[in-house]
Amino acid sequence: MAKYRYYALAALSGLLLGLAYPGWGFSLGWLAWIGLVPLLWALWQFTQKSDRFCMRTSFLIGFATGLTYFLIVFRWLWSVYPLDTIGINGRFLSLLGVAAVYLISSAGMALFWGLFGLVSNFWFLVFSKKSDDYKLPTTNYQLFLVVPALFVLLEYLRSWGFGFLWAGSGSLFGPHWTLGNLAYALAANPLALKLASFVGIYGVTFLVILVNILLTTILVVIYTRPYKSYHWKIVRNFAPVFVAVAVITAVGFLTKLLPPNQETGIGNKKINFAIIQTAQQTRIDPSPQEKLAGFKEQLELLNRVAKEHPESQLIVFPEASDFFTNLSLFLTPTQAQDYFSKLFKEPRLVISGSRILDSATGKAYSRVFSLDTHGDIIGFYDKRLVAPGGEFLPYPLKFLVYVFSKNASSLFNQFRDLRPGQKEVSTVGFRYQFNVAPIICSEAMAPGLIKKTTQNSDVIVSMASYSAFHGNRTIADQMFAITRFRAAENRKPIITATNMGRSYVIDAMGNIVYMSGPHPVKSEAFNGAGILTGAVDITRQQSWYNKVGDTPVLLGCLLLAIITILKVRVGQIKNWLRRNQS
Amino acid sequence: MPKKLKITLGVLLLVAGFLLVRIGLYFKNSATGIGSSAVRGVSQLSEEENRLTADSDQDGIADVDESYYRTDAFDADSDDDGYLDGEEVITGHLPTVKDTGEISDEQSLNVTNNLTQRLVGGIYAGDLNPRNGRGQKYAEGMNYLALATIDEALGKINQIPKNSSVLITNDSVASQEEYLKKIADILDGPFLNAFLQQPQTLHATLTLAVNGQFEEANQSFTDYNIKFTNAYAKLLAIPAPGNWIDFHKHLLIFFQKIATEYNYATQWQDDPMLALTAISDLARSLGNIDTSLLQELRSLIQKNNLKVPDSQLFEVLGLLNSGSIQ
Repeated sequence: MAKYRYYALAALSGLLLGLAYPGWGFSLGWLAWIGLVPLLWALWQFTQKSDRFCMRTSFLIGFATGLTYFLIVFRWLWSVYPLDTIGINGRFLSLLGVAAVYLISSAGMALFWGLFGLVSNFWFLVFSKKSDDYKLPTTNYQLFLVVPALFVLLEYLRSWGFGFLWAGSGSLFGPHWTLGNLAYALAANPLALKLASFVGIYGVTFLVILVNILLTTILVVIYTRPYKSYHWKIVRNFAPVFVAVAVITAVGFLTKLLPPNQETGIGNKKINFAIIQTAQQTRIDPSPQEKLAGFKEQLELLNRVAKEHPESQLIVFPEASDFFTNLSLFLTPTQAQDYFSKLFKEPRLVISGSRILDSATGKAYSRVFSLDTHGDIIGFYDKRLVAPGGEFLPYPLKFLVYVFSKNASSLFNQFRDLRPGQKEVSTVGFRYQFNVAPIICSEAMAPGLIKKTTQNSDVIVSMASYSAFHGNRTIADQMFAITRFRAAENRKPIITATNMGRSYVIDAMGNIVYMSGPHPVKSEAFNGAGILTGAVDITRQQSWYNKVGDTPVLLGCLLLAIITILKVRVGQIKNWLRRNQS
Repeated sequence: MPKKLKITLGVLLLVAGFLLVRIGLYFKNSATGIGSSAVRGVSQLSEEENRLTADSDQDGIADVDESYYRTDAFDADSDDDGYLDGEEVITGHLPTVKDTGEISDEQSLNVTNNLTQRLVGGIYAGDLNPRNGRGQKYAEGMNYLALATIDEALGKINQIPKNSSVLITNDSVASQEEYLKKIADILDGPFLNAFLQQPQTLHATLTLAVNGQFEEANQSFTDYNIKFTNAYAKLLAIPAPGNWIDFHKHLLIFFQKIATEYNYATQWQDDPMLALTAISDLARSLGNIDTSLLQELRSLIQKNNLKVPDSQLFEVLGLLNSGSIQ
């Protein structure tokens, strides 16, 4: 096979997986089960043809898949152009900045897939029957497990890698940036969501790759037709096919037959919620009239909640809504208490966020305040995972901006730059009725952070704003899929309040129970600003994942890789001994 | 062509392209002197002025209000005494009568000159000798000098003349509602601007100054001085109902203070110490705007059960006053 064909197959894999990944407005998630087959097929073919470990080509084949895939996944980055909404001036600089972030992010993430190509080449070679150097007394079963295990480990490293790639003054290093993880393609899959409550996204990824490698094995067996040349090996060689068919059939049946996840034992307690969805365009420096119009919209919606849905116990504003900050300009604390107690006869919990400048340190934080309407502010939480590019300028981007104009980022620094918060747990208890864990937008990407902050919570409140994306819904759809996994992993319902997008409520199983928009779920249809109200079941039960996190899956994958490596080494020694004996 | 040569040429071409762009940008910025949207924001200020706030002679009094003060709308100094009409109004003087003494005396107080004189005096007298008392006395002396300078500057900045010429009208509901209608423009415009926007604007202006764009920064200070002086002058021409006098005076003082601070901020070339103190005081004033004005307004509307004019600010106050909804 000509070399370009390997790359074409690799790119086809990236394309299929890109189509499988959410953000299109329609679901092609099932493509994830087969999307990696062209890449694995290309790698296997390359291994067969070259019969040697070729780092460069195998890396480039994997990289081609990764690059295609991440160029598709990160396409929403273009919707941020022009960057004046975040304080970077100049069309040319905007274009250059967006292009640089898009290409560097995609290529940076694709490096990990390149490494996957490289290690896959090695393992295909190890398990290849043609290689004399690595002829081992083993079967292909290990290949089924070691390839997914390596992919999972590389995906875990990738979630660290994004943070390092875009390091800056607001960085919080850790395995947080899971955007692009293949598990999210299966957000509508009951089996994947169920599995996530035990093993998280990495367990689901393992299954996805396992199915892909099994399918590839079937292709390989059909292609090589071993029964023609090695009759006595028929059973042995077909064994993987039998296993593959069994696993794929089981996965297929479970996916088809499993009803939407339902759990007995929850639903004893409900929370009445009200989401205040706003439609306020973010400007770097809005006029006083625009600020006042935004505040007026919020007041009108809050008054509507009080009038039409007074039973709402939990009222949530979107990210950086500045509601309390604006209120404090008009009312003294006593007057504010009076205002709320007139509005709601019973105590209610209102959650809203603002950009707060700490005068002592001169640093700004994205802070969420929780207010008891019959009391005071009962808690606050500073966003920990601030987004590079949107909430702080990473060093490479800072350098790029500085090279072109040293003043170009001054507005960004003034109005957007944020530092990560220090408090690890955001949970707030409300009058012994329920515990809420607020999280802010991009934090939903970090399974570890969410797991930690939801240990003692009944419900997660997520606040988001998509105004910087100029109406593009791709990232909002991707975040929606990610949020479903966070709910399923931790078995906690998530209430998401959005500015310039759709708000929704996901139950503890990962199912959509309420959604705003033109095609709503259990809600009146509305576009832009409005209120989304309802009741959601809560539970104190912790999922297995919520207790143990990703550690067992990652350790398992690591052990698998180590054991196989050791076996290879032992096999090599045995081969060497055999050769020397003969 | 060898591959290495191709790569080298490609890299060189990229570098050359980059340099070309950089040089082009440099000349563009030098030619226009405009580099950021903060400056554009400042230049847009005059575009935003509407007919009511148009000030042809740039003296701080809007054209429509010049008739109230009997001043010339096209002459910044109607009485030719060397002071702008708006400047005279805001400092409690009549813009149609030549002033000779009082303002001149105030202007002669140059905080920076005084500081220089004290420093020189201290050095000659030997009080400001770094070797005295291992430098402690020197540090103490410098501290006292700095405090004296700040005190002197703040004294000058806060020396706001009490203007007693507030026009009064009757307390009837009709005249109260008429008063609200008349002040609605000022509240929705300059007041809201000061209330919600000025801290950021001041920050942007200071950023310009820090980046060496002094002329633009100074223009911004001058524009806002005119804007708030304008608002003050306009408000002064509106008769207030008897029960609104306190609120009216508070609002006047609010504009007068900000306008004065902006005025002193423009004097960074003549009296830098005074300008710096004014800017610092302005930042403090804007960062801690007394919200009692709005609360006073809210409570007066509620107490007198007044019909509010069609304005966003009044609508927000109405929503906050909406009372028990359940």
